[in-house]
Amino acid sequence: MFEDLTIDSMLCDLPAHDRQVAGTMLGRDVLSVFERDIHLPGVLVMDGARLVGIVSRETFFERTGRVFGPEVFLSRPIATMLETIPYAPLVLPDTTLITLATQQVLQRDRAAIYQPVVSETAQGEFRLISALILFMAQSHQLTALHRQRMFTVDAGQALSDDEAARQFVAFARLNGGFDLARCFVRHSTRCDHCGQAISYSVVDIVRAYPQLIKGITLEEAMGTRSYRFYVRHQCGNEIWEVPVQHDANLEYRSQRPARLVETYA
Amino acid sequence: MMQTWNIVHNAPPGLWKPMPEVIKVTGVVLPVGNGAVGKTSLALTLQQNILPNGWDDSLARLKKTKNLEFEFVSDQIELNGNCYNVVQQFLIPPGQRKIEGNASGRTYEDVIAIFRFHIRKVDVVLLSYMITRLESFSDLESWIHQVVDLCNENTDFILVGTHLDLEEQREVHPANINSGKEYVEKILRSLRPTWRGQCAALEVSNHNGVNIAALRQLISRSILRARGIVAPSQPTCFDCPN
Repeated sequence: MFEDLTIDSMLCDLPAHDRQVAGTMLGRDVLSVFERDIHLPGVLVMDGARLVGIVSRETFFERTGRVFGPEVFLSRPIATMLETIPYAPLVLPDTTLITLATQQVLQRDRAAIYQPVVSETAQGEFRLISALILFMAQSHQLTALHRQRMFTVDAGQALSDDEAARQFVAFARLNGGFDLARCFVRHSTRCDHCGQAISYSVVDIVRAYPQLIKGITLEEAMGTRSYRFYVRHQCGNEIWEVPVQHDANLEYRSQRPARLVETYA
Repeated sequence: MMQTWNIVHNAPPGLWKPMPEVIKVTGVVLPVGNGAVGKTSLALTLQQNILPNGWDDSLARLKKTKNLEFEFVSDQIELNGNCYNVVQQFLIPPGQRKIEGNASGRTYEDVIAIFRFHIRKVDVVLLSYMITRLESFSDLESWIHQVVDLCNENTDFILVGTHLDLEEQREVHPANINSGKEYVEKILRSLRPTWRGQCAALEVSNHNGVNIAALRQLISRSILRARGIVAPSQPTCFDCPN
């Protein structure tokens, strides 16, 4: 349902319902509407093209489930029930980002937090989105965002080799005599946790770390310089990194035991 | 130099053999380096070579204290026809520095503050590191700054790499050691312009005793040189075997 969602997805990308009823519709007819579609989160109560309010499934059954509820509401127009609902519906343009919509939903009165949200199209049409769908969508977005940040050697930033090499040179404060071709030399190591063979180059490491300081450690001591690269790879639902040591000429020297970086669902 | 004659009483006349005088020299050796690089073990191995049943860690653990440790290593060396009995007095401070925030015992700084007046003349400083841990080698830079005020202008420095038996896990490579040697000499000359000592490098294994005898000899020669018994021009230091 949410596979195509990105961090920039909007309310129009979410599944919605546009079941509209007139304010004059009797309560028992609205009951049959809810009974026919068990996934319907609520109905839009309209007066012609004007939105009067919404009656959510929870509110409808909560009101009719009270003592004398059926007698009071089922034989009367739904507008009668609408008068007993103390909060106005939250109406948002359907171009609202899911993240912002979720924030607005959570800022509502505590009793109304789980009420459906009304999204309004540019053409003035209304649709009803369940709060649960909205929360699930945002949860999915956060997971996707998390995955986007978990770059690995295989999946890094879209940087060209030359760009990545230049970033490394700037980060390592190497002088003009440095041969950029060393950054493209491929090295291989093996994860001692999963046994996976990992092939990497310095530019791969640069791509895998938007913040280079987290992926490359420069060590200058005893008159020599060495680099430690944290080579990330994916192992099932986990991301592991292997610290590898390279000398001043970027030659592979040694590796340390792999360590778990992140586990995600 | 005065020669003494040891008489073999039961030898027939005419077969008396002149024995060279054994000159006793005592020198102070100060091994420094990160914790657990093998400073105490090194002194124990130098004392006993290799134990018959291989290296036993429990011995080093028994000797471990949070204080200045004392060990004595005796060595015989022949130079220029003279026989020297060199007693190497090891003063082993802890490898934990104050900067590491180790609250479990005395740090190097604490111990040196207590014993500073007893450490009068350090002849040899063993800059100890594990060949399997680059950090232990890199940290020697700060150890040089720590020990430089305990040294004199004749103190020799020896870069001692331990755990040579773990060659396959090596992180400190010959290139590091060579540049490290140059760096030690350079930094000592800048910190102490009158320094006339030498710097050597050697890798040993406390586990199987490789290069232990060479290190003992190297320390003895360095002591003799630092004490002015051997002329400074004489080569007294081995090069890194790698």
